[in-house]
Amino acid sequence: MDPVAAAPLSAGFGDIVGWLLAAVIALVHGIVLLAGALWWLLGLLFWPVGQVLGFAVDILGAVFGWIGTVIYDVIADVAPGATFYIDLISFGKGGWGDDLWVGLQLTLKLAVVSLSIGLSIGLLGAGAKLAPSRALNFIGNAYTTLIRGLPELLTLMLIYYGLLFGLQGLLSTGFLPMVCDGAGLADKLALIGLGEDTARICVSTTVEIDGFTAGVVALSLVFGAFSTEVLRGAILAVPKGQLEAARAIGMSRRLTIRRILLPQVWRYALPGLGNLWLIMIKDTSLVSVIALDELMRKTSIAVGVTKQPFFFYGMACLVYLAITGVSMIATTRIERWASRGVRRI
Amino acid sequence: MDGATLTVDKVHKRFGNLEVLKGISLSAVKGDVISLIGASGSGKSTFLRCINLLETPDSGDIRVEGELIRMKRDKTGNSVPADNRQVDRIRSKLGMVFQSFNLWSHMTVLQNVIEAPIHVLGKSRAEATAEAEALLQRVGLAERRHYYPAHLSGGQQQRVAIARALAMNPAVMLFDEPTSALDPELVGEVLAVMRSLADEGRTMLVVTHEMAFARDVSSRVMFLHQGKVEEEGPPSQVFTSPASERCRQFLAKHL
Repeated sequence: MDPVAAAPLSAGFGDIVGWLLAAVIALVHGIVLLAGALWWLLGLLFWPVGQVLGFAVDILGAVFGWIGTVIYDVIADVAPGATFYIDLISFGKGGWGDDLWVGLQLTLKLAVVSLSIGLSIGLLGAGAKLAPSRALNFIGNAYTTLIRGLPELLTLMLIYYGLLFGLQGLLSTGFLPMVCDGAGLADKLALIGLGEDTARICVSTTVEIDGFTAGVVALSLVFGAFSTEVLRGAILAVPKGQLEAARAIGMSRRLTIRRILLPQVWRYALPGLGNLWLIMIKDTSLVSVIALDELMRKTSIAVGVTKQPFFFYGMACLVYLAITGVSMIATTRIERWASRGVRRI
Repeated sequence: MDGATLTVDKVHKRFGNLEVLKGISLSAVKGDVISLIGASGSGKSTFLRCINLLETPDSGDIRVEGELIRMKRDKTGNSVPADNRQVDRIRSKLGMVFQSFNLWSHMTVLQNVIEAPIHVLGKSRAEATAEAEALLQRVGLAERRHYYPAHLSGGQQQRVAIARALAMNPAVMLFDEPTSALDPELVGEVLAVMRSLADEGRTMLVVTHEMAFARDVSSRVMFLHQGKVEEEGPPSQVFTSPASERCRQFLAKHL
């Protein structure tokens, strides 16, 4: 630690920097925790479903397994060539079914976590853009202009390598430990209850950012930027007279937003958000370029090993279509619910 | 203020360079039905909207059941409410009925009527529902309580809007051209409801183009012209022998 450099930082300015850094770290920490909790909660919610389904799958598996072997034998008799492909996607040894299944799970996890975070960002962004504050308008506009103007792949790369090399660079110059020390970051982190685990950031010399985190951050930012625009339009589409009626009857601003505005925002926003969701499911495949083993990358690996590109890309095609197809049915249902009371033409 | 339900003292309002209200005063005791008439742009709707602060008056005092709405100046010198909670509380005592109904379209008729009693007055759902059903009965829409506004005619929607305002048991009802957006054959059913409210002694302020209603139902008529009260008095006097030439011309055109 260089005492000369530390001196000016340890003054009031250093304190402010320290608190700012601590706040940023706490925020990131919070987002990561939130994402984890969300995923855990989803798991918990669907645990009974999973159990029942698992049980059903076991029984069905036994039944269809038996039928399958029968059919398999028949096919083997009729068209011996076809069994080769069935073997390729089997869950057993030599088959790629289990790999694709793991990839699919990661793809869904990526999409669902990014959806929840992205939607929250979108609500904040729409709020910022419509707020009666120049500064907030500017932040909202800068965010959506930047993210919407970049190819998603580039955003992902910038975030992955930007974070990676940015942090790495900071570490190698020794700047970060200096700032940490000068600002008393470790103490402050301990004070707000984040403890040694997080404070390690000050003394570590290498950084690792996993593909999942980078993917979630990038996809959330992209979804957030586009949904900001969708939600802004939806908020403006709610008839002003209805909000006025709520204020006139004595409802507070907050109550009006919660009871009158937001329920109707969904009505106008859902078609747009459904589109964005489909686009995001497809964008998850971009994360394969930073070596996250989601569906697309698992498929590529299978292609590489088996030299059966058309077959495996065809399988991936069917799986993506299945996800998006189910999504479309779901969004139609939700739209119908949200548009209750609207006269259909 | 000596038992007056609503007093408005010298309200001024300007939009940019246009002075819309040039010091309008009004006092209503319980049971008064005051009709505000005048040409478009005379400021009558703006005046009504100033009373419950949907428009913020630039100056002037408003008292509801003796309680003054406290105002202050913001940094740029504009007049703003000093206490938003007080404004919300006073608004809940002023039932407003709009020209374009403004029912909440994601809620059924019944949900529209019980919304504010539950969330603003803190009533129980059961109590609010019982009162709402009585009110809907009264405006003749009890069977339609599970309909959404989009499936009702304009006249029905406006009667629901009146029931929604009544559910707060307001001290004063403010009507902002309640029949102007209706098909001619639907005007009657809304006016009938308003007439029955007047008969039971509700305090009402009605901005209207229905001269027959103003003449037959109101206890007092105010004729507004270019942001000022040009003529004021009992309907018998205003409609038969107005002192103002402009009022005479206006009535000649509208009767």
